[in-house]
Amino acid sequence: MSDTERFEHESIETHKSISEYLTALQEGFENGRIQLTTEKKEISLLPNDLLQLSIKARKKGDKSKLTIKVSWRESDEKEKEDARITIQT
Amino acid sequence: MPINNIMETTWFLVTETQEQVKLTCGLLNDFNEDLLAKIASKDDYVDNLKSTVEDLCFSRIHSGGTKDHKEAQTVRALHVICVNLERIADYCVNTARQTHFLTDCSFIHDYDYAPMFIEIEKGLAQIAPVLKSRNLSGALDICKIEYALDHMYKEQFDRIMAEMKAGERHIGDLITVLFIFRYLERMGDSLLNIGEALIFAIIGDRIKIRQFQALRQTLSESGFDGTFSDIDFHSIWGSRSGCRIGKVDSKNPGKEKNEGIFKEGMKKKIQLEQDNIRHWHEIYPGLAPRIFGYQEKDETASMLVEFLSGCTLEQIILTEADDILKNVIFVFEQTLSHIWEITRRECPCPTDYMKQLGQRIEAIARVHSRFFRRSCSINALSLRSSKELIEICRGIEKEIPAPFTIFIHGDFNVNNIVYNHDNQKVNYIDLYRSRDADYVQDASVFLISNFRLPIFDRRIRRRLNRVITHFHSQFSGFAQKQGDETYEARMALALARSFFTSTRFELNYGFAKEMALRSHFLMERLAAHAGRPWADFRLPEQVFYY
Repeated sequence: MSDTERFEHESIETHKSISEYLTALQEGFENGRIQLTTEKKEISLLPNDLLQLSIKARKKGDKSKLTIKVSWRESDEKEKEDARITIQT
Repeated sequence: MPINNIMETTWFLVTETQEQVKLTCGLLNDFNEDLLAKIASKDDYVDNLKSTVEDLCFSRIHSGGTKDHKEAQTVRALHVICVNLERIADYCVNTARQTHFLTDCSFIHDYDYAPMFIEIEKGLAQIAPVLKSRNLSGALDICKIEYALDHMYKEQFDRIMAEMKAGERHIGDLITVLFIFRYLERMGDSLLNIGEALIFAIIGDRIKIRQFQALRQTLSESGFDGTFSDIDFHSIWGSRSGCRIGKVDSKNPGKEKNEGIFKEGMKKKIQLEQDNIRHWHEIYPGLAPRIFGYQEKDETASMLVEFLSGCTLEQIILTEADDILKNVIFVFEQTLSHIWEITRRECPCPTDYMKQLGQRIEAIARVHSRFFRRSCSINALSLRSSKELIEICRGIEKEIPAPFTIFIHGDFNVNNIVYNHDNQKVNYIDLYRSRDADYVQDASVFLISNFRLPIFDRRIRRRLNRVITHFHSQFSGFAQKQGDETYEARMALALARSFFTSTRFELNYGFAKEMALRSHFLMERLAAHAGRPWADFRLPEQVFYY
């Protein structure tokens, strides 16, 4: 069983309308929470301070492509509890 | 010799041929030498009958005994019918004799020959009633049997070929069985000739029934859910002869043989097309095909219309040289602008682009369910679902009715426009959706029918883009001239409809997705403009180009 949560959206935008998406994402990074919802489910991404960023651009003939990828690991609270070292005296 | 005697002798021949077919099927079911001998011995009798009818026909025609033109046609048709009946009877004998080459006669029992015999018997049984009642649909039913037999033959052929390759069965037996099926398939060819002869007797025009019409029919019966205009491209492509303009024979323009297109369907739809064709003849004589025959049954109606020779605009765009294309476009534009001018009626007309989209949603979902967007959000940014966008656009549409109407084609695809090089004329085909409506309906479908051609060769794509640019500017020019201020907004609505609905016939996922995305893009742009004057809305022209 896969426990992967996914959100997908594809659209065509103008150079102006795309900025609404970028702004929404930018705010999410600033606030440390990107909330993605669809009719059926909700995914919360919690960007931290160890974000791996990759920017790739490609131009071939009349086709251009810009890929921005941000990835990170999110450790949950329980893991933090487990990892805490307790010294008893 | 009265014509009734010729008919009676013909019916004898029909009965004898039926008997031969029945016996041959029986022989394959249960082989015995006596039966084989019986089939072979009947051959002479059938030959004699055919010669008798032939003599009667010729003497009737040459003695000048035929009372009128119509009777002469019937005599000629009877002659063709007899020649083909005798051929079918011959194939029966050939089939029967093949059984001797089988190592075991039961070998053929593994193959589906019985359904082919059923079809052949069905066709033969219809000949007399069809001619007696002059039933056009019945004659066409006989023609269609040829397609059914071809289809069955192909199935058996493929199976036998596969078995030959596998090498597990006796090759000699397989070849014999293949010969038998070949004879059965040829009986279908003869039935087609008989069907065409009957049509000739009924309507008096020599009509060749095109195979693709049988294909259409069969697709319809198999539950194909879509408009037939959408499959025309593939079928006409292979069958429209003399397509390349350079090859069109212009030496004998007066001697061309008429060919027909058979349409059968719900009475209302066929009736409507008939009415529309008549209306087109009043508006612009010679633009629409002629109607050769029309017949109604309880629920259905059938119509035989002229097959217009020439090339579709699509074929010209894709294959012809630049100068020819330019010339055709010029002729087409002249015709179009003339029609738009003379049929213009001054009255606001609500459009229904989103309703049209709504009616096709299920068909789209069956092919591409993933193209439907659900409403979603990214933090505070809310994104509308496909359904919401369609609803918003439905509301927008109510605000901007077309300022006037023209008599539109209704399914203005590039493959529904035929150009005849001999007389430098444009014809319209498939006219059952013609009506007084917004010209943007035709303009948008025309533009998208260029866009949606699944051709990705850059050179041809550039040409398609050029055609689109040209016509988009023509349509915009027309709108400006007419003072049509909401043209661009209505065009965006109509394009959103056509981009989305076109996906249901496109199985190239990437290309179909591109069209679905463009449809959503246009609806988004319209939704974003709401609240401002629609005269200010600008169509994002990049959507036209791929």
